[in-house]
Formats: sequence, structure tokens, C-alpha cells
Amino acid sequence: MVVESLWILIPLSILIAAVIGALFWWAAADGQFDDLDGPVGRILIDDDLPPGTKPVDSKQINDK
Amino acid sequence: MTTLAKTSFEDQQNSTLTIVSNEACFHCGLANSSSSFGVTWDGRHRRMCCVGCESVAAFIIASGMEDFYRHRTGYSTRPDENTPSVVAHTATATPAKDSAPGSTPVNLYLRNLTCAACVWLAEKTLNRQPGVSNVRVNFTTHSVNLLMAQANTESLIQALRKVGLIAEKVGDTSRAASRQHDRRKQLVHLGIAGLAMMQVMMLTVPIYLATSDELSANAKLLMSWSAWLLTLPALLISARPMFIAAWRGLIGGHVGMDLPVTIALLLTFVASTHTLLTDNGHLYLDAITMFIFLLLAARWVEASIRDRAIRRIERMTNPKPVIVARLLDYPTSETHERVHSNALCSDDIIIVEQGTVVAADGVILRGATEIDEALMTGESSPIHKQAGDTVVGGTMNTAGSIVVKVTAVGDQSVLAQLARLVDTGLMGRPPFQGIADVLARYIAPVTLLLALTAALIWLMVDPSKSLAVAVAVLAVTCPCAFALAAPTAAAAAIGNMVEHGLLVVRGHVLESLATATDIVFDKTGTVTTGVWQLRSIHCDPSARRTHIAICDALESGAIHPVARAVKLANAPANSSTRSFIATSLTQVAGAGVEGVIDGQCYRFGTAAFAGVAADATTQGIVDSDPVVVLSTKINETWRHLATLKFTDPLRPYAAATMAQFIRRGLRVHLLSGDHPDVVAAVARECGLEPEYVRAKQSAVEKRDYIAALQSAGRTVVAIGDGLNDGPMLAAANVGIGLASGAAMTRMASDAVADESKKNLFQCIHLAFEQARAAMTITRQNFCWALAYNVIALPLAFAGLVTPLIASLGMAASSLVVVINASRIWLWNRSGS
Repeated sequence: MVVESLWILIPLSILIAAVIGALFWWAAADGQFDDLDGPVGRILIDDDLPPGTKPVDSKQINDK
Repeated sequence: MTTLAKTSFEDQQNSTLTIVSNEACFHCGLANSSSSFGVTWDGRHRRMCCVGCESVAAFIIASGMEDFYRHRTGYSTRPDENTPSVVAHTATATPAKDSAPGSTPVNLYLRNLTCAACVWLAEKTLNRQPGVSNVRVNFTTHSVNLLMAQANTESLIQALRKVGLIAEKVGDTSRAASRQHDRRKQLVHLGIAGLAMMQVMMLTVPIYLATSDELSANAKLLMSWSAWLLTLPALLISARPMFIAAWRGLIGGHVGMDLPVTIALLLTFVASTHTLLTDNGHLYLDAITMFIFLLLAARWVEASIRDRAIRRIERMTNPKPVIVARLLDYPTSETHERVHSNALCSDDIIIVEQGTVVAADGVILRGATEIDEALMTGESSPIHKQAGDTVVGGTMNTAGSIVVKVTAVGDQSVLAQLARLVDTGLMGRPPFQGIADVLARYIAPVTLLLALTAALIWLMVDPSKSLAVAVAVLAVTCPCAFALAAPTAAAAAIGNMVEHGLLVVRGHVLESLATATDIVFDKTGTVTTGVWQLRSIHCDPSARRTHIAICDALESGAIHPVARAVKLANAPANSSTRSFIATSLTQVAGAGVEGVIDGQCYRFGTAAFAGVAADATTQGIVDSDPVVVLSTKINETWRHLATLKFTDPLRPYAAATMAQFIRRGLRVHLLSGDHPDVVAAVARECGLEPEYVRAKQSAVEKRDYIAALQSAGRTVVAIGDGLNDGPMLAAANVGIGLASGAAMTRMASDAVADESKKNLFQCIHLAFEQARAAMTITRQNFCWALAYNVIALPLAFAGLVTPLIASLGMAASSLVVVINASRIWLWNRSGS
């Protein structure tokens, strides 16, 4: 029983390892690990304007 | 923002939420108890220290980016009110080349990113600019990449300035880009090796542990072949750079540690494959993958630390564009245009204002001034120049405005000639041979010889076991610990150096420092601070402070060394003594300054200019330090008031550190472009032997001096800051530049001392200590690796080593090496 399941599980694990390896390769080559500090802040900050403030369009900012 | 402990900032942040803090500026954190600036945000008045902070904060809040203040984890830097706004109408504002809209890549460098919220602020601001897309701000490298329809960098820089971020154009991005490419590749290799190692272990450990009734022969074969398959990527992808390096070394006759590593890996792999095919012998696949991973990990750590150092240096070396006023129709009219210094041609006529850098080599047509050539020649005093004299690009005009006719630009300039000397110096360096390289030459042949001997012996005893034993010998003597010995120690030591401000760029620094026999110092700006100080003042003691205050008033607005020294001397007394205001100031280049204070006429300058007989002022003064005299006009004759003596003081710890080097048997040399008297005085103060001191040295002479030492078989460390030191640093075995020195000289250096944390001489002292420690640890590591081999070899010869033992042995020996190297880290933490 143990042996039979191995014939499925081991090739499967190799496949998964290959997928993980490929994903990691893609992520590293894409530069996802270049900056490990910046995205921390980026994801936490809500881009929606808080209530009570008027949205300002880019034109106004440039004129200021 | 590193100076601000995070906890204290958070305390501060919390207190602003509960009570209105009057202590610190809301934007930059500077103490501002008395200021009237501030904005109202989130229902409370927030105090600001200056109009700069106020306007930045007001702008951030008005444009809906106030979230920045909610999420920041550190204060921003104070916007500099004096920063001149960038001139947009320069020759640099070239129109964008033909390209699709939104597709011109723009690179900027952000000088003052302090926390992750700044990243958000920068991205948000840039995204709002018209035509901008794909904004990416990298917090680690402080770089900004974006696409823009029309590459108008100036508008982006202006927009960032409004939110208090200082951005700069990046000159050459190709080097940084290729380094980033290398880093990514290294990371891919390391990751794949790690993944392969874990998977292979998972498959091989059951084979080691299971008995034959628990694991059938078929299942064992399946697991073995799976492990073999998983070893392939580690070998073919991760270890490939090592194979290539080994092959190149073999061809070039320069054997490094890569060769024995490659031989061990390939032979073990071939033998393991043979085992799989014939089902006879042992598998060493886990050892192979582990070896690759450990080696790559050690190299990755070392490379990361060096990369950090290089990034910090590159941050320093963004040369600011020099904008010059070019006269269009000299001498008939004074109309001028402002152009980038790169756009200058020979025979152009330019104005060099007081306090600016001379943009190009040339001849003075009109005016007289004093030129500070300290960086170019090492001369500590400014040199008087007038019409007809030549000036050199890169020097500082300290006294008056001059009109200069450009004589040489680009390749022909003095600066370019120095740069060429640096290049040839770097190329002509003797190739570096570290301990590891020397050892590597023996490891490979010895290992092969041992394996061969083992195979031959077993051929006579039991031929069926011969191959298995030979492979076991190979696996046991696998140079893992040898290969790790040097990089782990180097990583720890270089890490310590970088942390304390000595940014090591090239890896050979440690070994060269440890074996150095001679240290060559530049004088001006290296051994001395390069900033003049008031050393003594000879006058009526009660009038001392008043006289200094008068001198300060006379020199207000001047920027030459004497003026700065007087300002510094006057500063502590500002509150207690009355300050004077001088009117009708007239500067006489090369002589001094005249001015009227409270209706009284004063002169401050050379004895001749001040109208006082030289002997009256310099009595009792014999050395070479510059002397300046203050006199006043009473009844149409000049009366002597005070004689001020200035000196370019030694850096702290300079004399003590040099004395320590001399005690240790190192030869300390002093090479300077300054006057012999000044140099001799400094040498005396540092306790150097006159034999090793040279004055009036040009850049070429300095370089030749180093070359002469090297040809006498000595290992030379050179330390300097000026442009004229560049060739010397490039030629030396180790060149150490200064963060505050000339950009070109920094580029020629193997290491750069950034004095933000430690004084230069503390840095140098630490570097020598660390280098010594690293070499001791490396030697210990080699000894350990050798000892491990001596114990393991007889076992392998006897045929007693199983793959499990080989793997465990390798892991354990590598671990010992790494732990031993980490002692350097701890050694430093304990404060020694």
C-alpha cells in the first residue's frame, strides 16, 4: 500500500517542486525581491481619500 | 532618519495624538519651541519649525495625501530653504526623442526617502503628473523608474520638491542595472539550489533510515532516480557559474577555489549516476545539492554586503550639474546665457562667480580672486590669481568674480587627464592572489591523487568495492569547508566595516590590509581636516572677543577658509558679545578685506595690506601657519589690533593611530602637494620619519612613489581624498577614499570611509583590526577543514564511510566554519 502511493506522490512532489521553482524564477527575474521594504507601506496605505477631504485633480496640483 | 530611534518616534507620534506637542516640528522632528509656523491637520494645530516644513506639509494635506502622516514611521528630512530651484532653461532640457507616448523611461534618484510612507508619497505624487505611468519606487535602492510621454525630468523633480522629497537625475544607470541583473540571477541560482537541496534530502533520508522490509527495492529505485532528477537543476543551473569560472581559470592559468569545487561536484555526480545505473555503490546526491547551496549562500551574503556598500557610494557620487554663465559678446557687452558645463567649448568666455566651482580649465581675462585648489593639488591655502593666470576646472573660486576664457574641455582637461591616470592605474594593478586561491591549487590534485590511491589499494584487496571507496574519498574530501572558509569570514568582517562606515567595494581589501607593510597618507583633507581653525590670537586679552567679532563682521559673506574659521571662532560667543555690522566692504584679492564698522575703518588681511610692519606682527611666530592681521585707521595711520593665526588641524586620533601603526612595524608615509614647511609641521606632529615624507607632490609623482614601493616588494595601502590622489589610490594595493572627497577619487578606491558614524582614523583602525581578525578566522577555518579531512580520510580509505556519514560530516564541518566566522560579528558587538 505504502509503496503504491509513492508511485503517485513522488512524481507529484517533483512536479510541484518544479512549479515552485519556475514561479520563484519568474518572481526573482521580474524583480519582486529587489525591494523588500517599500511594499510594506504601499499595501497598508489606503489610496481612497479619507472622508471630509476634497479630491484634488492633478491639474490643480500642478498649478499650485 | 537612522539617528532617530523608532520607539522614541512612536512615542512622539502618540503624544501628538493626545496632547499638542510643542517640542518637535510635526514634519521633520526638529525642536521648534519658539516658532510660529504650523498647519492645522486632523483637528489640531501642528507646529512646524520653518516655512519650508510648513509649505510642504500644507501641500501634502491640501492635495489629499495626508495619509502619509498617518503611516510614516520616521520624520521627513527638513526641506532646505536655501536649495536653489533648478534652472529649467538649460542646455540639459533636451527635447524627447521620437518615441511612442508614455514610453520614455525616466530614472530618478531620491535623496531623502526615510520610511515606507515616503515611497507611497513619491509614487502618488508622480502618478498625478501628466503623462506618467508605471511608477516604481524602490525603497532599498532609493531609485525611481517610470515611463513618461515626454521626458521632462525637471517637472517631476519640481513636483517631488513640493512634497519635500529631493530627487536627482541619475547619470549613468547601466552599471546599476547590470548589477541588479546579476543580483537577480544570483537569487534565482540560490533559490533553485535551496529547493533542490530540500527535495533531495527528503528523498534520500528515508533511503538512509529505512530497512529493506520497510522500503522495497523498486520504491528505493524510484526515490533514487527522483533525487537524481532533482539534483540536475542545482547542478545545471545553480552551479553553472562556478563551472564557467573554473573553466576560464583553467584556460587563463589562474586557478581559484572554483576548480576543486567543480571537480568534486562533477566526479561525485558521475559516480552517483554510475551507482544508479549499476546498482552498486553509494549515492551522494544530497551532499552535492547541499554543497552547492551552502557555497552559494555564503557568496550571496558576501555579495549582498558589498552591494549595500556600493549603493551607498553611488548615492554619494551623483555629480551635480554645474550651470555656468557664458558671455555671448565679450568684451563689448555683458549679456550671458546660462548653460550646462558640458556644453562649453574651447575659447568660450565664462563668468565664475565667487563661491562657485570653476567649470573648465582656462585663463583669467579679468578680475582677481583666490582659488582653493586643495582638492586638485593638495595645497591648503587658497592661491591668489589674477588676469593672465590659469585656473583649473573643478577648483573653487573663493574670493571674487572672474571672467575666464576656456582653454580646454572634455578629454583635454586636467580633470580628464587625472581620470586617465586612474584608469591606467587600476588596470596596471598586480593580480591579487588570496590564501584561498593559493590553497585551491593544491586541493584538486591532492584530492584526485588520494581517490586514485584508494581505488588502486582496493583493487588489490576487493575490486568490487574499489569504485565505491574512491567516490567516498572524493565525497569526504569535498572542499566544502575549504570553499566556505574565506567567504564567511570576509562576509562577517566586511559587514562590520560597512556598518561602521568603511564601505568596502572590492573583496580583496581584507587580505591586502592584513598583509600591508606601508600606509601612505595624503595630507590636506585626509590627515588634516581641510577646514581651517583659529589657532591663536595675539592682542590685548580683554579685547579678544571683540576683535574676533569685528573680523567676523568684516568677513561676512566671504567663503574662503579664513572667513569660515573666523565665523566658527565667533559662533560660541554670539549671544554674549555684541555683533557688528560692517559697511562699505571691499575685498582685495590676495590681500584682505577693508570695511567700516561704527564709523571706524578696519582692515583684515596680510600684514602689508593691513599697513603694519611684518616684524611687529609675526614676532614669536616661526612656523608656517597662515597669519592674518587686523588693523584700524586712526589719524590716517594704520594701527595694529590683533594678529590671528590659523591652522589646518589634524583629524582626531590621527597622531595616535599613526603612532600605533608605526609601533606595529608598518611604515607610515605622508605625501602632499602642499608647501614643505606645512607638510613638515604635520609630519612632526604625527611623529613621522622625515625619510617617508614628501611635499610638493603632483598626482603623477604620488603614483610613482607608490609604484616604487611596490616594485620594492611592499604592499601599500593609500588613503586620500583629493582629485590628485586618484591615481595614487588606483595604483596602491588598497586605496581608501573619503566620502567627503572628490567623486573621481571615490570611484578609484577599493573602500570608501563614510564618516557619518566614525571618524576617519577610527574607520581605518577598525579596518585593520577587522582585516586581521578575518585573516585569523580564515586560517582557523582552513585548519579546521584540514583537520576534518585528516580524520575522515582514513575512514573513507577503510571503506567505512556511508553517504549518510559523508553528508553529516560535510554539514557539520561547514557549520563549524560558519560559526567560527560569526565570532567576528560577536567580537565587534562586545565593543572591542
